[in-house]
Amino acid sequence: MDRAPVNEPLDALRLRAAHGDSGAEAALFVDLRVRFLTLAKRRVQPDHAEDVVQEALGVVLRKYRDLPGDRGLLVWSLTVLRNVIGNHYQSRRRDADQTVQVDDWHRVPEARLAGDPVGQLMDEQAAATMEQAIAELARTAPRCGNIFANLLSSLEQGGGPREVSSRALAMMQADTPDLTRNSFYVALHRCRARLRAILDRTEVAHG
Amino acid sequence: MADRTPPPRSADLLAAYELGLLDADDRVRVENALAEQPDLLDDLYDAAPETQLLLADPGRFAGAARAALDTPPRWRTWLDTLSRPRVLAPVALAAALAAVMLWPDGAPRYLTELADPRPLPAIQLELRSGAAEADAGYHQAMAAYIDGRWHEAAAGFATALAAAEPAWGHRDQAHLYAGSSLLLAERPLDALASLQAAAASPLPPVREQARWQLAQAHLLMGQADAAREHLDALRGSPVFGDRVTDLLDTLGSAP
Repeated sequence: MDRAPVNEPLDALRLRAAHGDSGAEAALFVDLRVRFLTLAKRRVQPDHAEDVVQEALGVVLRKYRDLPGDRGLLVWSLTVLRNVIGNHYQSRRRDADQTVQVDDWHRVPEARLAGDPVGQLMDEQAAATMEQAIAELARTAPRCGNIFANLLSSLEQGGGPREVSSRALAMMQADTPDLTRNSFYVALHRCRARLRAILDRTEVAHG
Repeated sequence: MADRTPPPRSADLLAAYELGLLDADDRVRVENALAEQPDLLDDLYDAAPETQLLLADPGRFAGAARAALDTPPRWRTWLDTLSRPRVLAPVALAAALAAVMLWPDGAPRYLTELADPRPLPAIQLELRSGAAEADAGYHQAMAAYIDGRWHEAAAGFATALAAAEPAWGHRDQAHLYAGSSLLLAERPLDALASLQAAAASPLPPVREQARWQLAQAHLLMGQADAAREHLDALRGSPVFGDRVTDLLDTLGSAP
């Protein structure tokens, strides 16, 4: 990928950009463009990738200053890209029959997730599905249930990254005193993968 | 406490990154890894809407997890009921009779719920004119598999295998998809032979998929030890390693 490693998190760039640092804003959008292109080229036809990326970057540019300080820019902006790609598929479907390539057939349902990201967040059905998935995770893998219960409680209480993670880790250490921060993060990653698997299964089951 | 465990791989920090837990140094490390590894970026992209949902109302989802943790599993509720003196004797008798009548078909529910027999990735290849009977049968069976017609797919793969020359190039895949079809048709016992044949394949992707499916089949039949044996063989798999570790952890904490 055509991007040199950097030593500053994207959210630090974002904060500087939001405070009027035009150099930081330019660097931020150069970085996002490279990442978006990588994803778009895997999902739309090559001659449409640049258009999709430009549209997504336009949305990010208009809205990133309103993003709450504790929200990660990259994950949020990927949601924007996802929705732009979804809209792209929808409009193409209206124009013509499917032109999805063979190795993209399994991605079509994902492309249906179009619409305003804020509206999607508020979608009660999505939240109910997530609740059920987390409950299933907790029943089938209680350790994962504990990790999510403690971490999400800590997120609810707010604070910076260190404060949130330290509070969640302390809750976990009440039951598992030897648990280290690194082990906690690795366990969280595995539990997150399990949660995704449950959500994927739910999506398949419900079409 | 000082953390003397080795620093996790960037990929293992992805969940902590997406949920906003990492310090600046680790965030930079993950963001650089995301720039170098498109597959990792794909993972973040695929999970982005769920992550936003979790962050939008963490208290609600923490409550869902706690409620599930506080609800005793069904098997424990049954045990509590059983332990009441008035019902102990007749229920124990009934259970003994049921065990005699149902065993080995009555698989424990907590094991069957752990099974995750999802369809394998499947792509339909173009069929050339004048293709051999086995290839044509394989093509038809794969079409049925992609459509979710599991019984038809299983029969089709079996027909293709019966028509195939000994050195047929799709033999291992046909066994694998035949076994998967039977598993998805809720016939785990029938799936074993096909999956065992595929598990002997020299091709690692086929072999590992077959092992994973075998573990699912044994879970569906309530055979925890047999499932563990196949999962243990997959511990080093770059594809199944994490899922295997999780499943073995869960099996270890199961009653």
